[in-house]
Amino acid sequence: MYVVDIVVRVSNLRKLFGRVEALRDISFMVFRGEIFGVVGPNGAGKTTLLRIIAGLMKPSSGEVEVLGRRVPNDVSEIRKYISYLPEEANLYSKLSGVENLRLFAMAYVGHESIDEVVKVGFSIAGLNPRDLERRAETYSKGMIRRVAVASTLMVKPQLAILDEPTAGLDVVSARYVRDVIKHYAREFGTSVIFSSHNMFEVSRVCDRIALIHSGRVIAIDSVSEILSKVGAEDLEEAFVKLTGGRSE
Amino acid sequence: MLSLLVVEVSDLYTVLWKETREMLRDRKTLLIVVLAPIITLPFMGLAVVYLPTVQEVVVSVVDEDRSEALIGNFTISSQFISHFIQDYLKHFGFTASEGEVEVAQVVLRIPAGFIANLTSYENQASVVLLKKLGSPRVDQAVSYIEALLNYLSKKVSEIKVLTLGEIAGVNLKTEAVLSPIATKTVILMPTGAPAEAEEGLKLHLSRMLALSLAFVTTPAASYIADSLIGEKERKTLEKLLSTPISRSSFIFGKSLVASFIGLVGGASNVVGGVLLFIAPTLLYSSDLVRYLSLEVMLTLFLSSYTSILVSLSISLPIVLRSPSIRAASISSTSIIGIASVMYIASLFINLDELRMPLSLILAIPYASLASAIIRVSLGESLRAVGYLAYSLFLSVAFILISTKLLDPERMIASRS
Repeated sequence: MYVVDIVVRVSNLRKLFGRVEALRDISFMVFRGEIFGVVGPNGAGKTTLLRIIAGLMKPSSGEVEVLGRRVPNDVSEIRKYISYLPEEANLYSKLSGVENLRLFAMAYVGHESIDEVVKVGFSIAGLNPRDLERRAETYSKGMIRRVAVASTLMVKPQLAILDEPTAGLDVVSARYVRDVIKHYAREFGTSVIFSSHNMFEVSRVCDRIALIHSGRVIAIDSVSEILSKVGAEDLEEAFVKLTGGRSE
Repeated sequence: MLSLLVVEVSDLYTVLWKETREMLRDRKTLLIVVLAPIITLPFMGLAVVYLPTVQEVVVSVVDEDRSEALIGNFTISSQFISHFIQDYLKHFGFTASEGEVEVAQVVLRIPAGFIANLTSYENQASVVLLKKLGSPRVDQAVSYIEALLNYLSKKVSEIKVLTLGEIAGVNLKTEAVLSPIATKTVILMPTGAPAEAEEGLKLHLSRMLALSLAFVTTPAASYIADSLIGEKERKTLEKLLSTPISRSSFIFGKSLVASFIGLVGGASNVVGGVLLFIAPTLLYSSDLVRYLSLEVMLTLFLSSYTSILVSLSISLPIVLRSPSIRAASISSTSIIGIASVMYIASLFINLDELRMPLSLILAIPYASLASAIIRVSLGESLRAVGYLAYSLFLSVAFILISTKLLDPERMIASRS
């Protein structure tokens, strides 16, 4: 029972790009239904970590298991159950919003369920149906992100991996995206790995977080636990205390 | 096994669904693929057949002799020769006039004493031909003048031979004295079947059709490279690669849609090819249309399609393994360059008739495709089919290899 509840298990993960060590000895677990934050400054290794979990990159050493299956060996099987939203992911500009949703629905579910999944996508995106009929090349950044998030969550994955889903968005759009992720992850029972460099954001969305600095995990726990352990008032202060104020 | 196949077909359908929509909405690329040969080929036909005839070349004939003399029973004058040459040149579209003309590109000078020498039995008459370098049309004018002077020279020789025969009391046949060896050239097709004299022109046009493959290959190859590199640039690749869609479906889907571009390109190249024959006919009372053959046009269509497929299949593994987007673009441009070189070379040589080791060039599918068009116009259909089949086989093999080469990490990590 315990084993089944572990959605992601990362042990001693290391990733090298040539001589550059992007990830060093990373270990953590993500449990079923939780929103797990991966937090750190730009260049900390968040995107590399998420790409490895999504099966898009191979670890140099260490182990990564998703839903009990090994990455990268079982990646084609794992992909059926996970949905990944890369940082700055764009929509297909020549397709409409609906067609973008439909494309990703087709990639995950059988023909008979596509319309149903797209409907869910409609409600997650929260856009006017007429806007969704327009080509994505006419969309604002906020609209693109709403549809992209919808295309990731609508397929009700067991694990959603969201890389900086609110980066570059205005306050209103960022808030909408955060609320949607929180609401639908709970509703669908989806586990979420949510990366961000915005400490305020993760403290509002995530159940637990891993603070990453220079490719290392420097703290893992709930935000409140980390704050109390470090003796800080907010995550920003905790991060500065843990890293000694060094950005790299 | 069956369920795996169903998944593959379903994945392939998903990629096709997306790619087809994107392609049909990319009107600019489609328009270029369709219009490039339709516009370029008739222009090429005009450029080769019509334009050279309208380029102005001024020829002046300077008669410094102004004399006449009797030869046999005929009187010949320098003025007659001057007018004879001018009239012919005018008939072929040249501007010909008598006397010194400053802008003349060709000057024919008939020196004093020319007629006296021409009609004598001891001296050789000579003219001076001056030409300014710079245009093939000038060379054409010069070759016409030389041909006319040769004709006159032959006529005068005949009269001289007959006159000498009369004096000697010998019944002479001019050709027996002037051309004791007669040559009869029989033109044959490579198959051994007799060919009409016009087959040469037909072959020349088929070489232009082979060159036309470059016009369809270039935009299509760019489209294919963009279909892969563009996904990365437009930030759509990473999400697509993370979905359950299989790598082979991803590659096959893109290949199938690109091969649709090949079909469109092939069809428009055939239209362009037909216009290549029709345009000079409409504008310049040429009868090139009668050289149009269904067999050649079908081969042109298949070669155009295969040329695009070849570009796709060779681009795929290179683009997939390129360390950066720029490297992928350069590789793709290089492929277009190789194709263009092969198609241009086929204008001048039969690529399938080179000696070893140069004959290995035929292993390059573009060389085979150009040879297919030339061979079919020479009546060697079976050989053309062989070349087409070879290129098609190679394309499919490369596409299959590419499905094994798709490495998401490499594609995602490649630099802009």
